[in-house]
Order: sequence, then C-alpha cells, then structure tokens
Amino acid sequence: MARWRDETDMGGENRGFEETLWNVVQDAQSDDPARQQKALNELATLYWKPVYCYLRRRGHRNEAAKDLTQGFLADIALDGGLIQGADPQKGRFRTFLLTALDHYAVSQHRKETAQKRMPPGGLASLDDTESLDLPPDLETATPSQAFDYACATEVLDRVLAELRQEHEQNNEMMYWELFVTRFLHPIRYGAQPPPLQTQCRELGIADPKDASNIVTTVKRRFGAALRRHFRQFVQTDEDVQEEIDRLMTELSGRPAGPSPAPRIHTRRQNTSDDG
Amino acid sequence: MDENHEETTFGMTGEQISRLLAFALEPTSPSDEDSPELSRTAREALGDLLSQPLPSRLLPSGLRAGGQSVQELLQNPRTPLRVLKAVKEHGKALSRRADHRTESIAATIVYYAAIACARLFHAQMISDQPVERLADVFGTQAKRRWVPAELREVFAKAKVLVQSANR
Repeated sequence: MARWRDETDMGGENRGFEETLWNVVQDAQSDDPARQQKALNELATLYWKPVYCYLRRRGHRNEAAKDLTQGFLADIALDGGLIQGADPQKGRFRTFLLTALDHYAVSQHRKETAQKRMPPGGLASLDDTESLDLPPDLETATPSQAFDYACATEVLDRVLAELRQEHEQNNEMMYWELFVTRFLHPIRYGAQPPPLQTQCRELGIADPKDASNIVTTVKRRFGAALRRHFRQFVQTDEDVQEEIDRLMTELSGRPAGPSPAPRIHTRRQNTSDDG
Repeated sequence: MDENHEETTFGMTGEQISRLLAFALEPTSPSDEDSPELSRTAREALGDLLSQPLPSRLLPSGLRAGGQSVQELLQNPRTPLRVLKAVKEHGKALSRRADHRTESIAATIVYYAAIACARLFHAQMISDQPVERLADVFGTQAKRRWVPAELREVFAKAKVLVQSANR
C-alpha cells in the first residue's frame, strides 16, 4: 500500500506530498531490487482482490480467475512491461490497470504460464490465499463495478483496521466500541444500537453527551483516514471527494440487505472450482 | 468488540459500502447543520451569557472580575488562569441546567472558549479532553458565523496551537 509522509488537511500547504499509486509504480520501475519488490508487493496486496473480482465478472471461472490474477500480478513483477507502460500523464491508474488486465486476459500463453512465473520472494497476498467467494451482491455486477467494490472494501478494511489499532494504542477502546455498536454494526447488520443511556452505564460514561461527543470524534477520524487512503488513487486532493462520490454512485445501485460472512479459502481448505 | 478487527467489509452489499462511505464523509460539524432559526436563537442565548458578569461566588477567593462581563474576560489576555477555569466551570454548569438546545450550545461555547483562552493566553491546558477533540471543537466554533468575531478568532488560534502541540 502507498506510504504517507504526512497527514495533511485537504488542500493544505503540504498538498502534493502524499504518495499516490503512481509513486509506487515509479518504485516498481526502479533498478533497486528491494525497492522494486516492496512496491510490487504493495500493488499486489492492494489489487489482487479487485483484479480477481473483475476477472470473475468478466466470465472467468474461479480457477481461471485465480491463475490470471496471479499471472497478471506476476507479469507486472517479472517483466515490468506493463508497468513500464504506465504514465501518470495518460490518465488514472485504474484505467491503465484495467486496460492492461483486459489485454492480459486475452493472451492465452500468459495464462498458461502464469503459475510458473513468480518472483523469488513471491507476492504478498497471493501466497497464502487462493480464492475468495464473490458476495451475492456481485452476481449481477459489471466487471468494473466488481473491481470498484473490491477496491472500496479493501480501503475500508485498511482504514477500519488502522482506526481500531489507533484507539487500542491510545487506550481508547471505549471510543472504538461506541463507534462500532452505534454505527458500524447498524450499517452492516441492520442492528439497532443499544439505548445510549444503557451503553453509557455499561461503559462507565456519566453523561450521554460525552458519549455523543466521542462518537462524533471517532467518526471525524474515520472520515479523515478514509480521505487520506483514497488520496493514493487520485492526482490531487480535490479529486478525492470526486473519486469517493463516483464509487458511491457506482455501488449504491446494488440491492441492500444483511451481508453474509465472507469466506476466504486457503489452498488446503478448498480445491474445488466453483465456477 | 475484540473480534471486530478480524472482520472485513468484503461481503457487505454495495449499498452498505456506499452508506459507510457516505457516513464517513457526512459533516460532523454542527456549524454545517445550524439552521437559520438555530443560529438566531443561539446567537441571542450566547449574547445573553457573554454579556453577564461571572457570578462572584464562582471566583476563587481573593480574585475579582471587576464587574467585567464573561465576554470581556474571555477577550482579555490578562484574565488570570484561575478566572478562566471559573468561566469554564460556569459554562459547564449552565450547559447542565440548560432547558433548550440553544442554551446548551451557548453554554458549551462559553465552556470551550475558556479552554481556548487558557491555551492561547497562558499556554495552559485546562481540559483533559483529547487534543484532537479540542481541535475539532475549536475549529467548529471558529466557523460559526453567529459566534462573535473576537471569539471565533480565539478559537481559530487555539485550534492551531493544540494541533501544533500534538504533532
């Protein structure tokens, strides 16, 4: 994932110092093997799930999609040819990546040799995870929507994990618990949050107003972290909101409902091709 | 919620993901939500509070506010720290007693203004609240157009100070 040198306000004086995916791409083109491997792993970690989902919705069955995903990312790692063609002046990284993926997917010889082509250190995320069941919601999604969905969930997972860790390190797990029970779980499971008074008693918060303030604070941190993470996908700070709006528009047309527990299979656990 | 860190959003519906994104980005600042009516009534309530002198019973022994209004105390860099602490407690007490939302908002502004002044005039923190929270609140008040300009300036400066101290 992209590294961040500084946390900046939107459009603040440090604008432009954040690293975007294009910076990671530049590292991937580096002559320094360690730098290159690190960058490639960042790209693979961030994109294996979106690439896999995209290919599944392109009509590739599970095993084929897995092989293509691995082959595509390995090709980037070994040949560098795809990366060498990446140019920030030519547009968004998403567009570049999906175009390259389409070209790759129709190239059968690459597909056939995919399993044999891995860099010496392997690629992060691909080594221990073999396949991912597509959520039912993606069954009618376009490939592009599936890609965006997986990108959005990947970023959200990172942001939420980061937030949780931050609150844990600051001994503010009470903050986190309030946030999860009052907002995350209601959105995710359709669960009604417990009455604030009751929760305050359980958590030892004397005044419900304090609880409301805490939730507002965590929510604000959530928004800031989300913007910061999405900054890597776009060229300027001003584009962040536009990118998130685009994602929301792209995803919100999909039917709502309780989400099933995601299932991630390891190679040992699942050998079937579910198509 | 110890198990939560192992959860993933992969599996949620697109609608749920979209709602989560929208939730993260919706404004949390009351200044973004103040209706014209709330702005008007809160301005009046705040004006009343600021124009009154600090009750003498709240002043530390040996100190006098000299009949100055709460607003004068908050705008005077020479107001002693102990008086600012008294103003803060005054705001907190008024907030607890408030019958209406606008009164509560006005009292809360007095409370935070005292904290901001202590940071600005005396380089002291008289609150245990997280600095991020204080920065958020100060920023919110600094944007409220119905808050007197002098106080907004105090909030804006205090926000910068607490943020810089937190880096």
